[in-house]
Amino acid sequence: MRTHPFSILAALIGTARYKFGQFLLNVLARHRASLPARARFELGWQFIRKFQWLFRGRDLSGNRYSSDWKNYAFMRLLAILNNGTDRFVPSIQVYNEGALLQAIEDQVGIVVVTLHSRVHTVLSRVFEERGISHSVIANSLAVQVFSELLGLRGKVDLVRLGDSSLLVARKKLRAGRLIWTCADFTVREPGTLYHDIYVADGLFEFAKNCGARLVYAVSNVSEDGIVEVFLSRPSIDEERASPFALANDFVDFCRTASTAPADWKIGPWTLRERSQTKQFDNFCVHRFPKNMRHRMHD
Amino acid sequence: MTDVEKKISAIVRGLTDQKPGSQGAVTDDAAMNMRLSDLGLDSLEKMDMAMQLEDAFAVSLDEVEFLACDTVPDLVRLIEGSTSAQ
Repeated sequence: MRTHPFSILAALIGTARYKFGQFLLNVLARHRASLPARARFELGWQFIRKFQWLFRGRDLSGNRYSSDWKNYAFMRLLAILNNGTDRFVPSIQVYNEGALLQAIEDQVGIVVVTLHSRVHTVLSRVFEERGISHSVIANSLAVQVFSELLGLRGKVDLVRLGDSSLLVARKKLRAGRLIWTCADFTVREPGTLYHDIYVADGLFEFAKNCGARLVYAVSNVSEDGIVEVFLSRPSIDEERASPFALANDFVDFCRTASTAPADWKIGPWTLRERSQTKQFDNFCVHRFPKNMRHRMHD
Repeated sequence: MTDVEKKISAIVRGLTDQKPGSQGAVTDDAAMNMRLSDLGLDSLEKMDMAMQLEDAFAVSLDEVEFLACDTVPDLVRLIEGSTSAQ
């Protein structure tokens, strides 16, 4: 299957629209630099909503996880606002927090499974604010900067995704730390621009092998510019269900909680571990505010 | 080959047998000499291996020390060290 020329054209036009939107957003933020960060955010978010046809272009290109365009625009606005000394901390709203509290009560370790949504790193802030020590399995140190943009104060305890990650995570889990990570990964169809999106069932096997409790999480940006985090416990018996059944249960939850549901399939953990490269660090370092780039290094 | 070596080799063989096209390709003697890093195990498979070793020898392995092992003799030393420590 080859990429249709119109798809490439649509992607190029989408990117151009989004870039133009970003440019205008930058100009707006600079023009109103004397205002407090909260007021600048309100202005910027109003602008994004009013001219959403520009920012919706992000749906069409460089969006392999099919995340909501609002999430991308929101993170871009945060990056612009935090490019100076005045720090802006976005508002967050956690739904069904009882799911987390219930898992904590069992005292057997917690694995929080989520999806890439551009704002998913807000989870580190959620746990930090509740005094829960946690570690994240992720591919890139960029998770630190993304988390800080979303209001994290401390340092992310990162377990690098790789062929040792789950064993390192098991050690941390045994030490009483909560583990959170994204279960989804993409595989590009050769010769095309299309990506299939998978949810790795290995993560559910990991939780079962460790005897840990599972908590599902999905994060989105609301129409009002608030980061919403939806939590849930599995709807099936996590001790008896197979990893595959749990992965499907997670996908069912994501379909209801995500503002941009995708066509998730179930895939092997091996591919999740190998789905990205360390070049990603170099790729995204240029996309962050200059005053935050140094935190991308070990 | 000692009992510990035999048990560990059997676990290594079990993991290699799960790889497509590798069924029965590794003997106990070959398993003794091969590098674990050459098996191409992902972290879930490594965890599976650690759990099998823990079950077989009734020990609790330190994950970092386990990850530092690259041959069956390394694992033998780790298991014997863990057994004597308990």
